[in-house]
Amino acid sequence: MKKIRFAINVIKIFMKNQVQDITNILLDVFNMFSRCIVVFLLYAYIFKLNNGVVNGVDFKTTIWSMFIYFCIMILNIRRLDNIIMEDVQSGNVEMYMNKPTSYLTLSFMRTLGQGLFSFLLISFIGSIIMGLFIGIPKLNLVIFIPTFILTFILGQILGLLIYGTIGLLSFFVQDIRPIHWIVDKFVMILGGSYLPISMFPNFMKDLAFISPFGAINFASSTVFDFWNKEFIVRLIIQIVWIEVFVVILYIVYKKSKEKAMVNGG
Amino acid sequence: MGSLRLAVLNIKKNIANAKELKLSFMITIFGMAINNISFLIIWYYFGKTVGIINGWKPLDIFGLYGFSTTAYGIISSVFAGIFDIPTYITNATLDNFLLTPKNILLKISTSKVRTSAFGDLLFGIICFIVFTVSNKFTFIQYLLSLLLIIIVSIVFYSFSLFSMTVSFYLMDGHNVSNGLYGIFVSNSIYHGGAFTGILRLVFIILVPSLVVGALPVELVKDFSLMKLLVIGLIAIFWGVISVSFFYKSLKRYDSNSLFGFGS
Repeated sequence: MKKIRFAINVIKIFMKNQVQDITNILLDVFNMFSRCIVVFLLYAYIFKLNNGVVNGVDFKTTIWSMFIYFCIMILNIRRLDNIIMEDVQSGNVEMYMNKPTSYLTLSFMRTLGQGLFSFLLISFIGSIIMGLFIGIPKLNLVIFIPTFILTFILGQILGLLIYGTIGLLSFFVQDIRPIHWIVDKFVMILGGSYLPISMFPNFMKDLAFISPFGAINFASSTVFDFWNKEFIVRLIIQIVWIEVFVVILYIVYKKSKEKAMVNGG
Repeated sequence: MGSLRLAVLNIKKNIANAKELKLSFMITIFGMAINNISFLIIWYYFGKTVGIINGWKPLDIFGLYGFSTTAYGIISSVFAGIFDIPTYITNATLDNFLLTPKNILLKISTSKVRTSAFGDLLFGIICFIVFTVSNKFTFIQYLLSLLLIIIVSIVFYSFSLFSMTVSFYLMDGHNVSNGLYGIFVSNSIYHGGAFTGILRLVFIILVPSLVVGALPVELVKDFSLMKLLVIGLIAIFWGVISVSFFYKSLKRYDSNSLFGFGS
């Protein structure tokens, strides 16, 4: 209970800090708006060329899927590895590791806190605008609402674990950026950023289904018809990957701590 | 002339520095090249799914990446200093450049190299070769492409400089500058055939994203003097605007913006 309260407090502090910085929030809104406008106009044109349907999916559903992906990106858990790398390079990490609170928990909550306000604000306003201008896709709300929330939370936990692992690699590798780029691109592509999930070729669909990088953004698949049949399997896949990465992160963190102590001593 | 010699020396020194960390240097270059392949896969399959769009075939995407990443590679590798202008302003380290003779902008531009951009350059050249071979380029088309790479690089440099210069007017301009630059870059690597109407005009004139990728591809495939002139004029326009904007904005700079006691 004490740990949960601590985690919530850290999130609150960073969230309040973000709220103070209006320029950054406006920039997030502007970035999201410009990105959405470009992508939506592009795909509106593509769908028009194909009589409104591509691979059996209509424009409305595709755009909602991409919108969900963009909203998740606003939360920006992808910055976690960079935060850890900066702490390692500056030497601050050793100071944090000597504290009674877990450095990883602190970094996770810090990352969430930094993006949470923009995420909530933009998702809320964006959803209303999307509903008014694009319309709402046909959804089975009984399945959609609970599974969306669940898959979103599981996806973000998995994301934190993956990016946290990459961040800790900075104890062993001089520059983790190449690893970040490659993993990040997988997450981006398999989440449906540039190419919507409905347009994926079969091998990419399989990869998005089975790989941990695709599992981070399962939330963007919740608007498609196939979700109603696959949600149980997909949630299980997310849980399995979370367990795998908890083990990996635990091992890497333990090794990193040893390394930090050696360097610090 | 002296400024140019100094810039070349700067670049040489920066590359030599980066090469000292051999393993990191190589991993970064090849990491970035692999990273870029993912975009090719996306747009190739996009082209295969939706077919030919406005004359754009799936393989044309190699041309788009050939031009845009080569230009990005050239500018971001050796002129990476411009991307640090917001940091120089915030840290008040711009003083170092102002207090010495020679061309300020050239000194800032060549103050840093970005190792990963060499990976983009490598990737861009490979894409360009694939594009030229698949389209069976003539000698004239090769020459035109080389000319376009130079023009496109000027546009890339100019708009990047413009974006970074915006931070002179804001308290903490990193995010705004990077946001503006991000809009420019991310749209330059979108499938060119899908930009039509107002969107196309906006991304040619206001934010010249299409000028660094899509337009050169269309031009080498189907030459038109008018299009070449438009691209050339846009390059001149952004070149003049960005450099004059930089020097005008530089007058606003004040190292007192940094609070602290010595270093």
